[in-house]
Amino acid sequence: MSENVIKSMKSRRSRIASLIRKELSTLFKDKISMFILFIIPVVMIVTVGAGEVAATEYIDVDVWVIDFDNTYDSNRLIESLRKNVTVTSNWDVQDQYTAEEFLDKAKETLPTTLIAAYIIIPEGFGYNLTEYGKTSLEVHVDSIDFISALAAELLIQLGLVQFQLESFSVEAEIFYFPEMQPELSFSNLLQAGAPSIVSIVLFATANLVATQSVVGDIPLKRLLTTPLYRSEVVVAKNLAYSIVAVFQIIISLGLLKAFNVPIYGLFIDVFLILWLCSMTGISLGVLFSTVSKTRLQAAQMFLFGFMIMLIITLMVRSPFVLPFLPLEQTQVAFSNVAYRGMSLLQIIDRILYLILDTAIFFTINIIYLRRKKEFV
Amino acid sequence: MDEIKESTGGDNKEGKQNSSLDESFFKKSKAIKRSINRFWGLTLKELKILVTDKTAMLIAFALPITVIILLATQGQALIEDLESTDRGSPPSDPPILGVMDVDNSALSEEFMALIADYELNEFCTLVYPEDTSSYEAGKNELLDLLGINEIHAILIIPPLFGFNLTTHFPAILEVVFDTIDTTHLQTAQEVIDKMVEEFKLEKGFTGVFQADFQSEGVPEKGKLLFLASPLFFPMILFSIGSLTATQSIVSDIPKDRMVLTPTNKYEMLAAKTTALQIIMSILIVITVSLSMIFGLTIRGSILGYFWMLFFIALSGVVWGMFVSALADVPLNAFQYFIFMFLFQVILIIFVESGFVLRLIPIYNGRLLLLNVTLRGEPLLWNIQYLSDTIIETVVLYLITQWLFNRKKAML
Repeated sequence: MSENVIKSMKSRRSRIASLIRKELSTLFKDKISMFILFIIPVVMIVTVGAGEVAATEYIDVDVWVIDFDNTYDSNRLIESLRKNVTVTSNWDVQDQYTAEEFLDKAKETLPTTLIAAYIIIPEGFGYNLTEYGKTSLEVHVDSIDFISALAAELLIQLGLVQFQLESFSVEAEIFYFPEMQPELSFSNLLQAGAPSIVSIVLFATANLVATQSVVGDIPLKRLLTTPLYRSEVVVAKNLAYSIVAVFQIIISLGLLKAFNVPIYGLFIDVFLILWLCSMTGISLGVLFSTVSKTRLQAAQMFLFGFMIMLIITLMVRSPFVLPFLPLEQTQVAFSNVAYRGMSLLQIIDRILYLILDTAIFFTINIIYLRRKKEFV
Repeated sequence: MDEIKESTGGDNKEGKQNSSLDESFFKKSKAIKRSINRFWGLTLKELKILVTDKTAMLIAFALPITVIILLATQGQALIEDLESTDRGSPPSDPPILGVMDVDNSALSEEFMALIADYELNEFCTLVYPEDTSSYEAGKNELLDLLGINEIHAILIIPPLFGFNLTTHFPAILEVVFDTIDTTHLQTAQEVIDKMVEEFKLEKGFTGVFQADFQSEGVPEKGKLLFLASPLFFPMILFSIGSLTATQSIVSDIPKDRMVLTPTNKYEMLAAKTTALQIIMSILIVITVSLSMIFGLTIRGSILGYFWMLFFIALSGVVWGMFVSALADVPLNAFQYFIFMFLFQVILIIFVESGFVLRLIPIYNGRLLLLNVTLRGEPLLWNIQYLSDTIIETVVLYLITQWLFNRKKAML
């Protein structure tokens, strides 16, 4: 009995090995496929690596000021603001607009890219300041562009602080000057965005290429008339593509090193995370391929899955779904190991989620393929 | 008589010339008519082929619908929270904040109570240091947690916080953000800002300038839809258009027989483009109407909204056809697609400016949708994005036609 089991296991292993060889030889014979599979990460990483990090300290912020007070203090405030932002006050355009008209114009213009904010200096601003040491101010910031809104708020605050320091006027107020930890200086875009870029590129390429693995495999139907198990096909396809992914990851990691992306953790740990990311992409891709009837259907399933995953990862960020998204898990795991120098044990939850995702896709695939009637 | 003869002869000549002109005009108009008929016939045939693959069409239509519903329903849940708290919407993925009160004054305790209330309303999760024996010990413990991504930001109320405020002096909080975890940076900063602002207003610690900062532009209703639509709508429509078009030439087997008929390749390509664009237009109408139903606030016109998406989708279709004409087998077409699509996605997400972005239709579409439709800017201010897209589409169409004409597989 046990001899039979061993024999069957051995023959199963040799069948899977033959299938892997067949898959790999088909893949490697297709020169364009190979070229694209390897050229995609190279072109992406090199393009982003060659890009410089945007100089946020030179953001030009345009602010309109509507001064209803027109006193020495209000004029001094406008001058103080001018040191940090580009200011246009109603006094600069008084031949065109009255203060009220300029305010209407500002309200209308705020949602556009012309101005980042407008400030209303109310009547009595100067009087309140000299009499009570306190005065009010209205600041309207356009929050459509987060970076520009943040810059506008900070620079206006800076102008207000400078005004107070110059006039030695202080009052009870709460400030904070944000500190960033750890102190990292990125010399190129790749160093800043490597976790996201590498995970997106590896997942997407592995996923899309695998979507064509079953649906585009014409000899598979004949192959299934042999003693081959359907589950063996799934195993072989997953393993064959994962071997290709190994080369892809090695090339990607080599490029990351070339562009001085900091990797403080173990190189092998980073490799394992990226390989698991590719494996999730492959198992999902093979599942899409099994489920679909045409190549286009399979590719559209990839697009559907990828876009939804991207939107949830970047925008929706639902805490119930995030743990199951390979892109999110890879990004966090990669940055924790590479940038923070954490060990695999410290990010074991991320690793387990990636393995769980792969296992779920793989199991569904085997169950579906067993029930699929078209091959019969 | 001779004159009469001459004149008659002349008339005859003119008549012959006229009749030959009429004939050639008639022939030409007949040829044009036939060409138009063939073109419509081909377009209908292409449409039929596209619609036949029902699952593929279903997925294509399901993508924008799912995305809109996902963004809108998520936003709706946030609005319900907003109505009950008056603090704006809590983030969908609340940041974890490490907090410590070193001051232990009446005011700092009140501030800590407000912070705890934020946690209660799901704006954040709070982590307190275990070792509060000294300021350094507590801060170091929190810094360690920040270093291993257990928390996303640190907020420390320093000594003399209460004293400074009661003696009319400014108090400076210690705030540390995580440089690496950029996903939570924005939400952590927003939540801390809200806490500080609320406490300042509640207690009247607004400083010399009682500056009232009001964030405008992003409507609370359909907020997520508003923020996501400029990037994701062009991305979705471009990718569906191009992906569907990638198979239009390379997988079209009957085209080889088709060239034996009077149909020419110009008509074939035009018909394919038109059929795909008809499908895309239906998709755009669904996207526009559904997003409006789910509360997307636009400052531009609906017609403008439609046309922006129309040009981006057309660009996607032409890019797909180009890839299809370039590829030898269907798999190659998909691989070219992923190269083109991923390249655009990566550049848009990570590169902020540069000439190369102007060549990317999704980038142009994003700015057109954001500036013209959502911000309500005149099209003239953003005309370069539209002209770049149109010029690129025309040039690519001509190259595709050239490639299509040179295809050796055709007889």
